[in-house]
Amino acid sequence: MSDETLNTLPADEENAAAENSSALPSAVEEEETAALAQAEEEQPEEEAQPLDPNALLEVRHLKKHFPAKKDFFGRPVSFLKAVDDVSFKIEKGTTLGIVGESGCGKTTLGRTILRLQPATDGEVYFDGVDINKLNTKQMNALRPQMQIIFQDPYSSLSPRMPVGEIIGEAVAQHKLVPKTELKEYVLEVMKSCGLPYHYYERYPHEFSGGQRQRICIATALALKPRFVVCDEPVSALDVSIQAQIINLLKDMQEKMGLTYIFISHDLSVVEHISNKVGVMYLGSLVEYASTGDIFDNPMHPYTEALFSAVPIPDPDRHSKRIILSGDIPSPINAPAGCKFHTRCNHCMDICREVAPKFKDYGNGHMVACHLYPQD
Amino acid sequence: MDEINKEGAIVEEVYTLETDSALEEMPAEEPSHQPEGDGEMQSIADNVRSLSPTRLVLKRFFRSKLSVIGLAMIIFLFAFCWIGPLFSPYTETTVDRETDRQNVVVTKIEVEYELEDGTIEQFTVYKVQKSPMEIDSLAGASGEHWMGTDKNGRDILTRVMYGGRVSLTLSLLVVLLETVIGVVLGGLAGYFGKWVDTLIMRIIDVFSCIPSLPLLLIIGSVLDGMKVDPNIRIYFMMIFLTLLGWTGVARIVRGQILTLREQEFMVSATARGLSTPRKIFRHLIPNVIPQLIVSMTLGLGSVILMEASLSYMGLGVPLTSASWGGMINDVNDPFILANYSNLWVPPGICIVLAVLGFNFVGDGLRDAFDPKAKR
Amino acid sequence: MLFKKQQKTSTQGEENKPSRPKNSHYLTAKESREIAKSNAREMRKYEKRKRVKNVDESVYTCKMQDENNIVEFDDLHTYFFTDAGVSKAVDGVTFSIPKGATVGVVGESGCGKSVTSLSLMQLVQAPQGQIVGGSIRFNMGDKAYDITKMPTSEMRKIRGKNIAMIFQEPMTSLNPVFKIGYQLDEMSLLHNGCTKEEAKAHSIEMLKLVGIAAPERVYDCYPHELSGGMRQRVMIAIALSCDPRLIIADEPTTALDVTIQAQILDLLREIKDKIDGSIMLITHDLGVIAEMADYVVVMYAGRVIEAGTTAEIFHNPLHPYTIGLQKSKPVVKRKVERLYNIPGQVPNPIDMPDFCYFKDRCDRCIEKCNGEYPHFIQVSPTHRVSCYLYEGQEKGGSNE
Repeated sequence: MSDETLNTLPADEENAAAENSSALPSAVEEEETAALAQAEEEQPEEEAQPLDPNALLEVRHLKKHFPAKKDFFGRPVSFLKAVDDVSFKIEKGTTLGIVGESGCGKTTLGRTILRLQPATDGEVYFDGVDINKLNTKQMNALRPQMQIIFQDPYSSLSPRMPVGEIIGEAVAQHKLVPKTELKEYVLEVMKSCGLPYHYYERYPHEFSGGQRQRICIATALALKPRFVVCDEPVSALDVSIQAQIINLLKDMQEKMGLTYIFISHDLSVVEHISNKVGVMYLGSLVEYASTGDIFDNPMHPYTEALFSAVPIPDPDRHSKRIILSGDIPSPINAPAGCKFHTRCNHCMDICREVAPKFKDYGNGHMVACHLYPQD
Repeated sequence: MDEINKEGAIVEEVYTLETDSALEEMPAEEPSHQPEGDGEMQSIADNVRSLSPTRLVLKRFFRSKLSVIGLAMIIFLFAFCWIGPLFSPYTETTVDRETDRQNVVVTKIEVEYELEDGTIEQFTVYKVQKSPMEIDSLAGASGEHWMGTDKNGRDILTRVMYGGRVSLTLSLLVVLLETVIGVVLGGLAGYFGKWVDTLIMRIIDVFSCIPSLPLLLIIGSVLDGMKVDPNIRIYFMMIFLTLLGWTGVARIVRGQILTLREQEFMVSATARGLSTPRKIFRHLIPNVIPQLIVSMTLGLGSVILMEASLSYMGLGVPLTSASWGGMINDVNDPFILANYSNLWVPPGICIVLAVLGFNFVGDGLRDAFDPKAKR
Repeated sequence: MLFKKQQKTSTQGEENKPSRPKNSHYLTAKESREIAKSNAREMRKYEKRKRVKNVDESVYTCKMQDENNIVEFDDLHTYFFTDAGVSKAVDGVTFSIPKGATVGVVGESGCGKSVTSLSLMQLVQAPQGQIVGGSIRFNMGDKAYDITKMPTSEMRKIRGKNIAMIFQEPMTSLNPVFKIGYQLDEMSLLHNGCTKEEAKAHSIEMLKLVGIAAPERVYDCYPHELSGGMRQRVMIAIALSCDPRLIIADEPTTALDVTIQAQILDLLREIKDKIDGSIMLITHDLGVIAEMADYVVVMYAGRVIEAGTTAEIFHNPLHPYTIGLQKSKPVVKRKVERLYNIPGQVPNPIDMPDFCYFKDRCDRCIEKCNGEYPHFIQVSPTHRVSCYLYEGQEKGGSNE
């Protein structure tokens, strides 16, 4: 492990890491570290590419393939390419919205960025450190800084633990606050997330979805993170509660200077909360631009169709729909060439054979489509 | 107010009044420290009071008549076995010999004896015989022996009570031990997966292949050959029972943990960098406990049966001390089977009661713990 | 009620710590026993009424208030006897579905919109759930039935045939062990009494109707071989196969992706014109309602709080809840700095107080709101709202 990476870890986190060393390494992670050791040798070469100093997170050619079919000896013959060569960066204090339909790999992307699943290939630079090259101990020490909020507030809270303990346990483990102040700190976090004090000793099953989502947010934010992946945090909630949670997330972003990746299939919510938007289709980004650009001038036919499909709550404003035919193909045998060609209304011959390049067409508006000049 | 204040005498009273009113006013100010005006605002939503988790389970448990009956049966059996003997005039091994008065056989023998002087005088000799054979064996039900006595003149009711102590304690011990082994191995297999899982599961497969009864018979004779004290032989047998029985528990625990491990709260625990022991013992195990309690209760019944069969075959508790299975052993004698049902029916009923009771309670608990079950 | 609340808050005020008596949130054993007892009594009462056999048709025949309506809900009450108390899931719901129209029922989870539709099908989960009052008049064409009084055996003839239902989860509402064709045929065999060949022909026609490109192939598929959108199409085909007078669509697109949702909504609109039936569309998505519905009913905590034509509800929403609901959903290309949000939580309708249920979350409360639950105010012949703010704006309607 290089000195540089070690130095970036604050002192108190090193303590936490030392404490964690007693933990039994899970078999999964052992394999991970082995793979990482191999990757480490290539490090000098990678350092050559300069990192954007403004970016808190930079993802380069990230890939996550799941073995889909195995032959008799357990060797995978085909892969489910959940995330296939995705690159982007996020500036500090901004929000990147990721939109896409179910099965497009947006959830896997979020989890791979946080190394909750080992990446197949590619780099994730968090604050200049490639997290895929950290060992388990260092990763655990870094974890509080990168948090995740899940879609289903029912399954993301441990059912047999009172709220106070859920929020406080990781804080205690990483020694973010002295033991004596822990309860006070937890109550303070709860208050800032709009949870009354007396919820401290209650159990998650007593709460409605909205309250639970607040608890989830409090749990993540109690660790004083700098970066949060919000994986469809409002999709399971009622409309009036959605607005509360979105406002809460925005307030906390302002207060704590958080950086978000906001994953959602709900375009209107993404438009409201994001500074930049990435559109995913079958594991790849097909378009990436600032929110204003992408909503005013969607360039990719998929983005266009997606935006036109959103029902508008105004009986007089029936938008012209671009109805896509058919369903999303299976990501196991993704179509050759442009992955979208099977459903595209502008499909050309070249689309079936050559995958388009993901290119910048000015102002950071990146698109992968043959409709636009490829050179 | 001012007027009263001037009169020093009741200032104190006024003071208390003021605090009271201040308290009553508090609710109005409450919302101020919560964003979006939660707190007071939630009055209607908060209005509904729910059942505490424990009561919820208890309520569902007691809703089923069968589980209540089962519980009553078990409570009765425990009271019967532990409190019952206190009221019995006999002990486990008291052989009821007839008292001297009754058991003395006096034979009057007329003896003619020729005295020295040649006269013949008649003597009456009383021969007092106190035969050890004359025990009150196989007595019918009477005021003294409510269920009669066995072949050795021991009170059956008392022996049923003592027999229950042995059967119930042993089964509790076996089940506890099985659970401990099962949780540890099943937990390891489920949590770590990969080769750990494969190894433990193959061990389980091997253990499930062993036919338990023949093995126990062999071990019984081996123990006999090794001249093991018959009083502790049963403990050896129970250890072997445990070794054969933990696989079921391990399978349950592994299955549960495999599903729980994929739940979002476990991903969240990883994301928060919690240590492995904490993840296992605070997050996983508490969620397995309901299933464990159910399997333990259901297991108790089968261990009681196993113990009964072992004792029946003479491999269990030594004949001097009572056990339900050992008492039924008497039916080996067709004469007793046909004529003395009071010897084997009472322990038989006890076994049936215990097994049924545990099964009823187990089923009731399973329904009570299952949140998806119809309410 | 009031006393309880004060006690709660005053202990809280004392030291601003989680010092509230630990169990104040929970029911005491005594209370829960009482609830259980009264529940058992009530449930027995209603179950007994249901078991009566050989009900004469005259008992449940009734007269529609307006012959142009297909369904009229009249002061419907459906309660759930739960462990925590009686949950008034539907508490006095009154609205009607005109022939050939789409009526959208909007509301958040737990507002009783689904229970209303289940009551119409007599599918409320018994014995906890019971229709305890009011009537649902269903127009059979030549006669009208009161569904609340109908025996189950008669109801079975109406279900599926005259009223069909499309559920939210296309993944679970098809039986995974039977082929699509079998599940489709079943419906026409049961209700139309035709032969197998006729049923198959009809089924394939239905699959064609819902826009499935290769109906013969899909006919021989198992549900797991189809994607979510396709399954929902099959569900619609099943619903349509008996030519129902009313289709209840309970969140038909919630589980689907946006692009697929657009396809299904288009399909539903087309089909409604083709079959000349009515649709009762239950959803929480105002966008879907705006596109599909002719009339909108807004429900909150078991009651209708506002009802009107789609234009009225969207252009002139009156009830603060309706307004809040519309403002709290961001709309594409309509940028706002901060979303409006309705504070507080959706209430669970147990032990509701007798004042406007929305009072605690409302930012436009007036003094009168503390009084009894507001009655409907008819602001136009089709538009009514239950809120004190609009008292005196009545413009005599004749519908209710």
